[in-house]
Amino acid sequence: MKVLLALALLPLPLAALAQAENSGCETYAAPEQAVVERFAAASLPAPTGGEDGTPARLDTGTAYQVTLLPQARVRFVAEPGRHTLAAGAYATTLVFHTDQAGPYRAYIDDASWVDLVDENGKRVPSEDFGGRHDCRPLRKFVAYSLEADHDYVLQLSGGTRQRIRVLVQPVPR
Amino acid sequence: MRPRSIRCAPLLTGTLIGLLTGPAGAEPPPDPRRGEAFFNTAFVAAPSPATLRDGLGPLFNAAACDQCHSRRGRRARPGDGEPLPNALVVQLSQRRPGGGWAPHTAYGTTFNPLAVAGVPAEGRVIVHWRTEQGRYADGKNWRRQAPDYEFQALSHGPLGPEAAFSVRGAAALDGVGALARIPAAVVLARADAEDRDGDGIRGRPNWIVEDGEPRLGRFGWKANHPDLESQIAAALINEQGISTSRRPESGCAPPQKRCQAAPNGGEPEMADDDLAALVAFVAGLAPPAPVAGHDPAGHGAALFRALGCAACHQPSIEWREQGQPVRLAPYTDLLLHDLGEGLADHRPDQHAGGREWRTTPLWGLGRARRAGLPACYLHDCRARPLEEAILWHGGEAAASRDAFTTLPAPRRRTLLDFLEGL
Repeated sequence: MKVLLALALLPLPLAALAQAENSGCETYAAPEQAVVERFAAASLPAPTGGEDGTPARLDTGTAYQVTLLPQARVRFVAEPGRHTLAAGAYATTLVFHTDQAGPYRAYIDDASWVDLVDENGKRVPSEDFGGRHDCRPLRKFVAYSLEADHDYVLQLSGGTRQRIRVLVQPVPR
Repeated sequence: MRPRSIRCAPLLTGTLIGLLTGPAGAEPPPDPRRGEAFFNTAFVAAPSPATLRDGLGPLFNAAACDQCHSRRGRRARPGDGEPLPNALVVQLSQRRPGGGWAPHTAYGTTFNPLAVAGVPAEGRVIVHWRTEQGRYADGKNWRRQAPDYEFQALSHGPLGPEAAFSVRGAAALDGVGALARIPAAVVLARADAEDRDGDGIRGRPNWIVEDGEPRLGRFGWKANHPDLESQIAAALINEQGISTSRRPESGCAPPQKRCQAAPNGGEPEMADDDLAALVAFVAGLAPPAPVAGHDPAGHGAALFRALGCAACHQPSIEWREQGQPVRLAPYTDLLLHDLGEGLADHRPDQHAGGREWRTTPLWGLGRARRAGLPACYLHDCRARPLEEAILWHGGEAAASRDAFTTLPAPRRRTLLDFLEGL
């Protein structure tokens, strides 16, 4: 084991700290880099519906700014796959429809736990996941293999922020 | 700021699994389900209305335990030129002028690549892989990779020539509660620091002195923690910046003024009963089960013994509790062994030397790979695939490694299949 090089810089000025916060984004692969750019937009639309407690609707391929609720007030379709502290946590349920079968990814800019629930109320197992703790625009993604012409509910739980950015889209073949 | 909570009576981690409800009026036992929630929940920076979970940082490696400690054994090795992932922690020390070791004067005991807003993170560590090659006795080539580390963007100056560091992967937690139950006398019975039996295997305990009393170290890569609460409290403060009554410090090294000035989430930031719940959850994680059909007495197991692996990776540990036999199959003796220069970090820890490592429990070894998840092995995740981990064994294990290299390929495969079935 060797130490190749120790680069010493003066402590970062505050103005550079924000840039340092996103230094992990550069290690994402190209598809995720594109999502980083989309999530960095000044404003994003809010999903439609959801006022009556039912899941708000997402269109796949569209990035949204979603307002979450205190977790204790959310009615989940299925028990979240991870048991987290409800106190101080934010959560939501969102529904989207698949036009095509195949791989999909759900992207969020928060460390919320992500579950996907099918029309039978069963959690869909994930195929893969990834994330960067130090990439503020894109914190994590979860990959699924989905069927065509189905509704799926995206459940977010254990979140630390009330407003997060969400995108669900098929993975280009 | 959170109010200080009522301190619970001291808990003996080794008895947590058998903790029973006490007499009327006694405090309820810790709630593992609540502990699981803490394990899975991301802490946030203080101040926050979410007082149960604020206090993250100011410096940290991950916001939640489960971000590094995968419940399915997933361990992903970084590629060449990539930064270390959060699950690979860089621990630091600095040689004292008069001898001995202390936390690094500028960066403390743990290098933290993340920080809350307004506080500079300590930097980042890039790994470069250097390939070494050799040949098995049957003529087939083998390859193993050694890490070289590059520290970048250091916030408080260079580490300096007296610094030592060690990269440590997040431990698998399933079964640690069972390991906590093993009586110290059972562990010590196998210690042979002087190699009196002349088999080349020493095995010695790491002694952790707390309040003037030596306690057997059993957790951590160098057995540097005597109980689960110690290990968990250390991880909370070093890697998440969450203080407890066991570890009430701030987590900020003396020169780090912005870190010290940042608000905290209370003193301590995690209440005693919440820490006890977290410990109870971790202690209750059942030991991993081998794959269906795994034969602990088959050809692979016989080869494991014949090569001498079982001298340290003890397949079975037995003792009696209240007259009843208890048996575990952890494949560890919980003792320190010299594994040679190739794996040395030259960073002593308590009584553990720079070439010594606690025998890693092998139960659950193949779980991630069987699930199709990334897996890597050894303390710094350098070995991938599993045979590379064997090739890195030196020191007391050199004879076993050499014996492995003389095996023909089918028998090497038999041993690897056995290990991946654990």
